[in-house]
Amino acid sequence: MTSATETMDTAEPTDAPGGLRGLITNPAFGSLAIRGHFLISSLFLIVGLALLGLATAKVVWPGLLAETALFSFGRIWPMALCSLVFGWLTIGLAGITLHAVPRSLGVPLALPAFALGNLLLMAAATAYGVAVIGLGQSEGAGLGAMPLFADGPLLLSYLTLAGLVTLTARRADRSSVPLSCWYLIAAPWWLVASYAVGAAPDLTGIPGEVQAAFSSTAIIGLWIAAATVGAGYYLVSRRVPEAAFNGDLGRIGFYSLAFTWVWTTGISFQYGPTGDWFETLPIVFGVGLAVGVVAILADLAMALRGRWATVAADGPLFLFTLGSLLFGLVPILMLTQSLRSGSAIVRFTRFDTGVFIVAVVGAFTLCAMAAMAHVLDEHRSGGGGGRVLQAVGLTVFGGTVVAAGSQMIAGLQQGLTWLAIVQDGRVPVGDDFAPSVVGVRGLDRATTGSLAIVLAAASLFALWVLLRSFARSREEADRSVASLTTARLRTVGRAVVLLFAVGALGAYYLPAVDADSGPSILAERSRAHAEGSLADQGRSLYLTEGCVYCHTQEVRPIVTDARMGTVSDAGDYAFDPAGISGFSRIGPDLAHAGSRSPTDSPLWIRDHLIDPRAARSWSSMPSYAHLTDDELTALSVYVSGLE
Amino acid sequence: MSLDDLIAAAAEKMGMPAAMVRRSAEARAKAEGLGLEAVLADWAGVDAPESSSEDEAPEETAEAAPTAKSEPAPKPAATGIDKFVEMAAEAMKMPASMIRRSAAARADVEERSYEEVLADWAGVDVSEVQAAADEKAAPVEDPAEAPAEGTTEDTPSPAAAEGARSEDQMESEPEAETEPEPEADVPATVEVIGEATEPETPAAEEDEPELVGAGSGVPRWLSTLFVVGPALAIIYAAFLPNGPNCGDAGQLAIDPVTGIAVECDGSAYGEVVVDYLAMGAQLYEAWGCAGCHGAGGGGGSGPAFTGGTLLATFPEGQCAQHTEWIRLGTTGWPDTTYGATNKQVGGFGVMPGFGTNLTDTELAAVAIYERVQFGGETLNAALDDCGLTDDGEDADEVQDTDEVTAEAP
Repeated sequence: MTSATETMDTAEPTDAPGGLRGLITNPAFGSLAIRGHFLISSLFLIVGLALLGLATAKVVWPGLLAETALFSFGRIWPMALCSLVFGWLTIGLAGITLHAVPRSLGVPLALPAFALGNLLLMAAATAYGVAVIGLGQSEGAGLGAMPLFADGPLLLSYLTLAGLVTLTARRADRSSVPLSCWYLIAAPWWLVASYAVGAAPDLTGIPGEVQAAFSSTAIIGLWIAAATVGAGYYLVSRRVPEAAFNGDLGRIGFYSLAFTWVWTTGISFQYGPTGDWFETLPIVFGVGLAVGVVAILADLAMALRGRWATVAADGPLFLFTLGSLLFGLVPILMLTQSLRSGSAIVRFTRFDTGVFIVAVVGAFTLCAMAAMAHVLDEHRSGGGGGRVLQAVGLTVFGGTVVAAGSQMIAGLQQGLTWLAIVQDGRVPVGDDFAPSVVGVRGLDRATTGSLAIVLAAASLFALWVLLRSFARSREEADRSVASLTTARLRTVGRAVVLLFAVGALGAYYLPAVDADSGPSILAERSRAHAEGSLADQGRSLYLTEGCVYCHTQEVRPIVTDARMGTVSDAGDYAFDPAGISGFSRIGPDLAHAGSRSPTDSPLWIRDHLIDPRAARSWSSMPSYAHLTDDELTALSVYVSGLE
Repeated sequence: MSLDDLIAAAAEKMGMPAAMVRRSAEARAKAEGLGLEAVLADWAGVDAPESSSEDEAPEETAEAAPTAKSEPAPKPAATGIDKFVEMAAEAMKMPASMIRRSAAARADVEERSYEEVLADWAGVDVSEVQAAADEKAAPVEDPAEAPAEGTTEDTPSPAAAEGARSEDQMESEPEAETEPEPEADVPATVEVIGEATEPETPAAEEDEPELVGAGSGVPRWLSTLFVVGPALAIIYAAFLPNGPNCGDAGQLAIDPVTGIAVECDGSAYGEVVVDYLAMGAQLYEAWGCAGCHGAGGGGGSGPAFTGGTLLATFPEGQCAQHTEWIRLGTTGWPDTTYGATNKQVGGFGVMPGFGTNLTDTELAAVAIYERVQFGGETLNAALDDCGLTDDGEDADEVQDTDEVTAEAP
């Protein structure tokens, strides 16, 4: 931390007010905080990518690190998700926001010392949350896996971030703010609101699933995506000062993106036990999302038109362009997932993983890297570090395309395999599930390999960030960004509240109320419905050990699931916590595991948990021998009691 | 007319608060690179854009773009072509600014000159407009050398933004001409757009890359997309049912009692529903039954089936014997008589046995066809009789399903 004291020393004399007040408002803290955000988030990027690669490797080689509980697939997968989304993207974009908003408006950052302190809180809470998942203490699934005790500090730090940004913007002596700041001021508030929805006391059953899905969608769409776009506008307007944006496109883009993304929550429920109208929303709003993203990309592309040679030579702009290409793919892929004929084949397959990789590892990561590179590079003429950044960008881009592409092809193959098995008169469970596991191993290998390459590039980037952070950069004069698209701060504030409130009402509250139903007979008959019972303990383990990332408990009324037993309805989940219906079928569905042989036997399940390949030689399932005897019993009793 | 007067007039005309009018006008002026007065006058319906912009525009724009000050720009005289814009505006009952834009866009699309379009709309001869335009073209040419310095200094000054209004791609060369006199709003732009249709513009674009991106307009295909996309979504939401119909995209029906996914007609999933009647009819033709018994069952060299004779010989409940008779024929029949009426085997000549060529199901299908079509038995009774009901033929498949499904409530 030598550079911290150095910077402070140089900055001190210029700062008039002394004492505590002088310390809090010392701008050196701000610059230190921003670089700190980048360093910490880069670390999370490396950790997240390493875990993601390890998780895919474990599907191909289930014996890998099989003895350690920490490295079981069900734990490293959510750890990777949370590291990438909360650690890398959220902390990184927070740093970019803290840098961009004051500079766009020509004012110093408000309370810079708070920004530094807040970073420490945010980083500690995120690291703690990820660690707790690894220790098997989490209570949720997906992005909701962040455990409750990490929620408080995280929410506090997100609230502080939003407060600092807004306070800074209010100080600006301007009646209106440019487009980049719309996004960057609105997004932190949306992060607070989205995270708060997820952290609110969990509802049970399908309403809880809706709540969790809405929260995850909003965190990605309203925070990560919006902040990425804001950072992109800032980046382009700073690196190409003579670029002018089109007011209408910017406006269309802002409102479409913010308004439509959360409405696509229903993608996770296609053919599921929620109301049909909820599953129609993603199709309708998916079109709006595509329009918004096209508007944003067209706006940026038209501002850069005729300067492609400059873009190719400039490191940050090059990274950003690659990221934007992938960003444009995301709404199209989401629309594919939401169309019913598409979802009938690809839902619960690796296709979803592919979309996740395109968005999070590809689009958002490249754009965030670009903005960070720009911040560390600000006012260095000639685009320093261009070569390194170009290499990083191309590697991440290529690796992402291969990794995501192989997962999506694997997903299609999985879905079509299930269909073929069903049409052959069999059911894709037990040994008949094998073709959909063995058949995609080659593709899984390709994913693992390309993720390793992405990891290498990300490590190079982190090293670059490290070196740049400690290099002294010239202090620059604050220069506000000229923009044709401006709005009053109040208007942005109204948009923040209104768009989120309407989205939450339509995509969370109403579907949750609609899906609230009394327990079905099956739910009553399931062993786990009695609280505190052995099976109930087993169900908690089912979540914390991450069984939900490979096994679904949902039978859909479509051909692929025909002959799998009673079609799931909302009442079946009445006693279950959110997340139990599962995300993917890397292993077979377990909705009615207790009604067929041999999974109706607790003893068989127990043996299977200890040595999955004894009975199923083709299985990708990791061994759960690290669980205690009691835990194994509880989990076996739960699974074998699923009616 | 002062600025405030203009605002007040526009506010009154548009029924909006003055403050809002002012803000909107500023935004519009900025976006289109017009003078604030020109926009306001347009809105207020005051036909004084020339006079007001002439009087006040220099201060207004000089303030926004200080670069313009160094160049004492020649003030544009009200040109002839403006007259035609107003005539067209009058004729089409549209604001003059809209006429200018629409005419430029139209000229672009139809590959005509701006003047031609304008003349068309104003209802005058092209040559008049052309003359007015040419008259203005000459004085603008000399200050055209100094554009580059004028633009690079500041970010999107109104001058740079002016490029935004010449809709699409072809703004760079004309802009070079408008640059030195940013306040030369209406007339200069008008004729500039007219010239912009000349084909050498792409080259000019490369010469001055710093102008290209400056707030270009939205391409047409994109604006179309913004209308068509949401419209499609709304139509989808309004007219298509929530959730696919049974049978679409692999959707199955759910049995209300068991909760198990079933075919859309309620039969168990995977069950093949065979139309035995059609199958029988086809076989009846194909294997020559019609040759002896008649296509309508009325008989020929063989006995007739119609008129109750068939069911007299093989009454309900005796389909098995009927099937057996078709299988063996007269030659293979072990007895001397057959049927309920103890008919003599061979009494009508020789009937071949079809057992070697047809499967059991096919034999039954022929029997069903004859019994239903010619004997008058109901289809369900015949299916039952001949052992081809659901729980007969497909029994094992259904049992399969039961084994793997839950013990449904």
